[in-house]
Amino acid sequence: MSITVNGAFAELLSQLAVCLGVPKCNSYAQSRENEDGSRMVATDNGNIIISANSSPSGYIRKDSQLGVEPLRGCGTSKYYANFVAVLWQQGGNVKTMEDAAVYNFTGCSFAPSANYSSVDAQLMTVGTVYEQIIREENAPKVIPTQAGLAVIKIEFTLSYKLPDCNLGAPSCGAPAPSPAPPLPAFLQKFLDSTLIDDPTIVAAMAKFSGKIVNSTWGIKLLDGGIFYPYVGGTSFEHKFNLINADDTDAAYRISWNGGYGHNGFGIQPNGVNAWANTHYNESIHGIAGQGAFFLYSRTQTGNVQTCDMGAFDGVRSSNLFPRVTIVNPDRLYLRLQSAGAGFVPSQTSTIRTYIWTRDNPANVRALVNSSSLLVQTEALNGLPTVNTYLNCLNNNNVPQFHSYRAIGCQGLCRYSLTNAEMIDMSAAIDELMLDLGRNV
Amino acid sequence: MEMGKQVAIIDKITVGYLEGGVYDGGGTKYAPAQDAHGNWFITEEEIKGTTSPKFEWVKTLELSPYYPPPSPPLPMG
Repeated sequence: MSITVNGAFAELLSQLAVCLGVPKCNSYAQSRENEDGSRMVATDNGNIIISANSSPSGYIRKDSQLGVEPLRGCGTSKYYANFVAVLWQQGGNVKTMEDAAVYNFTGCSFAPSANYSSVDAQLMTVGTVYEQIIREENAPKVIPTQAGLAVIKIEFTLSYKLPDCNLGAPSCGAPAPSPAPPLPAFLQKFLDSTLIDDPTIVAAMAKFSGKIVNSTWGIKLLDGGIFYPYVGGTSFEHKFNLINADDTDAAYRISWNGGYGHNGFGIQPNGVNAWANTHYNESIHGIAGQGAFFLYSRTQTGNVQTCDMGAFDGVRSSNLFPRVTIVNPDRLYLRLQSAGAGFVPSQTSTIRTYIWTRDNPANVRALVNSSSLLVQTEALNGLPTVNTYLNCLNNNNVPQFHSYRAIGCQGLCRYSLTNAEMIDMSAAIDELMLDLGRNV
Repeated sequence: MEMGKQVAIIDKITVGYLEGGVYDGGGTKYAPAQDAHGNWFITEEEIKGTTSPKFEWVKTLELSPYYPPPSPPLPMG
């Protein structure tokens, strides 16, 4: 059976392929080996997403990307494909599966396989949440996304085979691919939990995750730490901890409360009643005399008594008030396992990366606004016994000092960071913000 | 606090009904609070963010200007 995608659906695929960076060359196809042995191929006309060389049940990981490497060569084996399409159409009905069921492999002279089985037509309405309509292998299925969102993902399986041809022939592609390295397990889990497959986000997160696994600050972060990247644009996607993306409180999944805005720039608390519980309790999960908090602020403020994250149990405190009036205006006020007046150098900027850490009983050190290294004597007073809240101060289990600063990412580390680690981590966060288009 | 915030005043019974209720797909809960006059309210952001059919009716609540209560003193330890 001929396999052709035509009409509006083909246009959609074409747009998707362009979004994924698939080059529209005329000489060879491109492919990538997936972790499960499947392969995805972008054809010459750049508008097809294909994979799997193992079995009809071969599955493309949703983070797979197209066109990152040239095709090694063509073969005669029958290839099976698992095809993923995401429709972003707003309103009305999407095309039926019948529209998506045919595709013409033109680029590399792919011969359609006779094994392709037609899919059942299913008229799907944008905005409706579907369970899997048909459960058999190779049958089309609709992956539900979040209720209320006008996004539907359609998955179905098709097959094709490659023609006989020689390695390096114009129709077969360039030689010598090197398999793309697999994503770190924690990032893969994060993507699986959040259902994020936006290629820009995946690429940015892959780059940042590489810095985590290849840095000393990152290794520290990976041991029970928290990093909320706030990618995806919804409260569901924003609640997950990159380091452990289980959907549980024990993994420090965020519990949101009150009025928030969520968008592609991160989170926007309303400064009135918005607060979030990390479920991280320093007295249980932290280490006395160690630790680091961090965040990326996108909002410049005046002198306001608002807190971006913190816990205070009546005696011990870990928190950040970036610009307040304490005796004198423009005071940066941050503490970590401290008491007393806090860490109060003059400060007028409240944007970009803040990292503050404790590494001995006497000192708290900080890197603020992605640039200034500060150190202040601030006696260790023990670990706060209440949970760390975000976008406010947890004042003995009462959220207070609600902040309206837009936050690009934030988190904490159980271990202290050196000055060099803070500088390196700040640069990595700044680069992540840049890659996500939310730097200030 | 940013200027020009809008809130919807609600009565105590409604507070009990909304408190702890999840209003969106990310598990976000309403957090009714009191303004400078002691009136209970939920915020414009909570209303706009409501996707739960159970709480669709909050979208009919009337918005009014927010009067923030005085900020508590900073905890000094």
